[in-house]
Amino acid sequence: MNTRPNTLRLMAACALAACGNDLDVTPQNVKDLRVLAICADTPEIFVTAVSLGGVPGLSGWPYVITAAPPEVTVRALVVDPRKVMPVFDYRVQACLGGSGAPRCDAEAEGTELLVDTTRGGPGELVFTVQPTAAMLNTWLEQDPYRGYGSLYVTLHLTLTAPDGETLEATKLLAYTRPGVTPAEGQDPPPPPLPNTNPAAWTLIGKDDGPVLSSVDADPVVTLAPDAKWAVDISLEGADPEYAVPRFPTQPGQNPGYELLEEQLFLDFYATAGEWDERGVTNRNVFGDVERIEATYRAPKADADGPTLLYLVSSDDRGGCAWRTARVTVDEATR
Amino acid sequence: MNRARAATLLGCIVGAALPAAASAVEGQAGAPLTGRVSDASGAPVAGARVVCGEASTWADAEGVFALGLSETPPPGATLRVEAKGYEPLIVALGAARTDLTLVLSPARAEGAGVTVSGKRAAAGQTRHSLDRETLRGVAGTGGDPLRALTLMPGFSRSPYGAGRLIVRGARENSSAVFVDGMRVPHVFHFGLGPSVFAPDMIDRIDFYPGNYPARYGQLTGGVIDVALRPGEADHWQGAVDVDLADAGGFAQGPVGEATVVAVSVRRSYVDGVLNAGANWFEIEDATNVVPVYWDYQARVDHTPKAGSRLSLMVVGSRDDLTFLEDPSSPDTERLTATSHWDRIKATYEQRVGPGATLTISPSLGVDTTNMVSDEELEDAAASEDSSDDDRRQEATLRVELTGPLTAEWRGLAGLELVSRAPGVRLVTPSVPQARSGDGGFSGRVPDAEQRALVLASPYLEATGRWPFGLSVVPAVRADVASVDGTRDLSFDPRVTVRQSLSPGLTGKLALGRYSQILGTLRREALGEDPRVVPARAWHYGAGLEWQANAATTVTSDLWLSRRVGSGRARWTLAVDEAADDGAARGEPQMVYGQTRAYGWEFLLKTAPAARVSGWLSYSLARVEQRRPGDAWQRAPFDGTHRLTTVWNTRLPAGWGVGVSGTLASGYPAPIEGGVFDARAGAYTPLRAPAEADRRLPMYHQVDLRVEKTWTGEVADTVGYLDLINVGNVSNTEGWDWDYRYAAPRPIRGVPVFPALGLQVRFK
Repeated sequence: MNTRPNTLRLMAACALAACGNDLDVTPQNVKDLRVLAICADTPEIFVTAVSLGGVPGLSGWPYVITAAPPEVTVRALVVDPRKVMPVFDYRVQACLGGSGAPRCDAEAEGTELLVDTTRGGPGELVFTVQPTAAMLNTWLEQDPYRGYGSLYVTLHLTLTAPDGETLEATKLLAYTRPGVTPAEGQDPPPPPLPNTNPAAWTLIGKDDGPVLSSVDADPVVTLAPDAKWAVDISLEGADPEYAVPRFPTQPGQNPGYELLEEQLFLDFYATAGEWDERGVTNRNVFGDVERIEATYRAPKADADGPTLLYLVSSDDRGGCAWRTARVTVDEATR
Repeated sequence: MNRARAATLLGCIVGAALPAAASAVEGQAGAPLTGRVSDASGAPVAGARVVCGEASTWADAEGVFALGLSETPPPGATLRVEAKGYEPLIVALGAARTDLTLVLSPARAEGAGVTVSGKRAAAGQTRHSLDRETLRGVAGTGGDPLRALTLMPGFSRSPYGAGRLIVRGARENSSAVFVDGMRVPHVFHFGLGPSVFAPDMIDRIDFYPGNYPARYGQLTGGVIDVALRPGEADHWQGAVDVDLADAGGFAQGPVGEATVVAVSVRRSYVDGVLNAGANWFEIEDATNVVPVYWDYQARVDHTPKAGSRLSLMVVGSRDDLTFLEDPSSPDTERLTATSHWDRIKATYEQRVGPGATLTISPSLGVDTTNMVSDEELEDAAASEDSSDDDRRQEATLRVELTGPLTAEWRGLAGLELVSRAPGVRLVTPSVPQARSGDGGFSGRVPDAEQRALVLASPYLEATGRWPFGLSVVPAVRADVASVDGTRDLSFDPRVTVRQSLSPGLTGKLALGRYSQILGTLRREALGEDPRVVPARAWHYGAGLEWQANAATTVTSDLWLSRRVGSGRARWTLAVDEAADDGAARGEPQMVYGQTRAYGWEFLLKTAPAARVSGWLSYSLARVEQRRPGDAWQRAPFDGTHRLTTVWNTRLPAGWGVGVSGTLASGYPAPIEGGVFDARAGAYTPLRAPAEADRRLPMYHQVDLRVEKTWTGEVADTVGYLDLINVGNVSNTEGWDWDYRYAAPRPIRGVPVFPALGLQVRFK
């Protein structure tokens, strides 16, 4: 059948079926065990490699990695607001990523790297990743793109509770060959610049409301019970662009850096109270406006434990950072 | 589904089938028309169908028939006779009503099936044909012929009651609908509503679930060919149809002595009904969406002289969906989505020798799909921008020559030329490509452009018949595709063999290869080796057909198909052993998605002439697919089991009752949970292993139709009530997951839904 009017069909279907997602649970409200972020330092890893050559127009590719890459420190934000916090078994694997499979295959042999196993409760899980050059080359062999652009590696985190409940999360790392050999007749472009984790943002409360910055030493927000905290999000200090090397594609064109628009996302989470719909995940906060808004409604009373806000910032190139803030409910602030 | 309810439903379906089959041969009461049907030599034509108005019957083994009529036919009424291998015969009834002698002529074309009108392709291994009267009375379809067709074996169930033609579990775009051999785009208004064909304009629909004849091409699935009704009356007749969603009119009649015309137009008023409903129930914002559709078909047949025929046919459809931000404000912002298509086709047919016919059929088509706001429309008008990016144009020329080759063989030689712009989306280079946003590299992203497609498709088909009941139909079709200077040749041989095993019982075998250029093509490697790589399929079939009696047929078909999708390049690395430096070479290697499917289809069908008529069908379709290197997975429309039944009965005083039922396996629903993807900040669904075979619950639904006919001197009036899902069964059509794929919530199918309509048929 011809499927050209798919959009029309979809819209018609939505109109007739009154489609929409009205499920009760929203990602912003953390009620049980969750992984909210996995950040790597550095988010993009440069590797030493030599070109094998032989492909017209791509003389710097394919390549073989000749030395072990630098060690990468990975932090995972694991939270559980429930009072009784079990001890979990953590297991971290690494495997070839970017091939469509959302996680590593526990049954695979020889192509998976066991990064870490440990036990512990919720909190910040820290581990290091350093595959060998041989393992990276094995993944290069598996990669249908042969590492073109970057070699992507999936970190697969599995948490298993004593009752058998499991939670899984993944993080994609990019192993990049920094030196790019030009094609025949081309001048060499400059090397790629490493990506960094985004961390500069400030939440500015409207109407003299509290201000929360990602650089605060001990971020605390004090609000009246059930009060709304409407904030502007300031990204002063964040760079809205990033540079990539540019190949000459036209006669007379010189190699250099090309500036591309950065994608930055802020995800808001709370263990009590509620972020409004502007706090939904995956909002690109760069664009025509410098500030965007979000609103948090405080709980009606302090819970037994602390009320925590988690603010995760990430770009679309693997960069990631988070801050945790406490919320104190105080009638006197009304 | 609850086991007890399922068992009860199954019992109802089977129980309804048995008495229907038993009573299928019963004729109608009333003063009969009697006579005998024979060929030119005087030999009886057993099984010939004799039709007069709403009544019909079948000739027995001696060619004798008795057609019961509820009243005396009016002057000018016609008697129509059809039989396999013969030209249809239409005669005006005179004073004589008994001992009529009706002589049929051999079919001019290959004559493998009932030649009712136009040129009909040789039978494939399996062809299901339904006529107008059968199609329009099926419960749960609102009289829509294509929806009725989807209850035949070979079709998979369309989810949500939508108009999707899913043949043997294959992707929708691997099958297509033709109108008298001319391919048309989507055939259901908005993909949900009624089909674009008015029931009165349809003469017959042929459905080939696989192994289709050589005159069709560019498909790896099945073919649905809708035969429009030629004007056939010796005086003007007409009909008006009105239901809750739309109204339409049909007229046919002679224009001069050698020309007949048939025309139909239909327009929806759903927008008005929505407005009235919103006002009645005082619902605000209920009319934010305003759907409007209309369609038309017309056909003119002219016979300038003996041995030649000229016909002109136009068909088209309009879907307009307008979204209003504030329906109460005349100045509200609006966004209009449109999907229009039109086709015009001329056919000139000339006898060029004894039994030989030359047919020339040029056609033109335009498809338009867009979505624009008022502001954009104004901007376009101001700039006189007549951008046609959303418009596709197609020109086709088909030339066919048929005729006898020897005493046993008839031949068909054809050529189809198609020019379509834009025809495909060409992506070059295919790989490697930078995966955007992953950092470290940019540039060299693939270019994608819409390009024109030109197809030249010669085909040959021969039909051999021998007295001992053997018929063989070998065929071959070649498709030469050209896109932007790149070309590909497909060469698809096919053969069908039929053998009469005993009186009424026929065995059949078929196999063939079928090619299809998909919407997106990829050049293999950085422009070094550009090729057009179409998808290809192999169809294999074996079956039996049993004419149990004049009114009852039983068919059983086993089928198997394998399909290889359009190519996608993947780069491999090979060390050049011969090179001194041992350098590795990157080489492009084409890899292909694959589909394998098999099934069994069973059909017990009684002719509409019987007092109780309809069919019982069962389809087994197991469809699996995989990408290179992956394990086989159930295809999205692997319905596996589907049992359908359709029965209509005529009661005294003009009443009629119809019931249809479906019992089907749930479609695959492989998601079993989610994993948090820290890079996206969201959860990614996880698929269960293929062996888990996770599915939606079993689907079951019963529809009911009640109609009443009031007979008048000038016109007959038919009122009907169609109740879709009369039991208001809450079928699960899918799962709505929470954000982390932990808690599914069922998405329900169509609840009980009434369709009320009125038809006035002027005599």
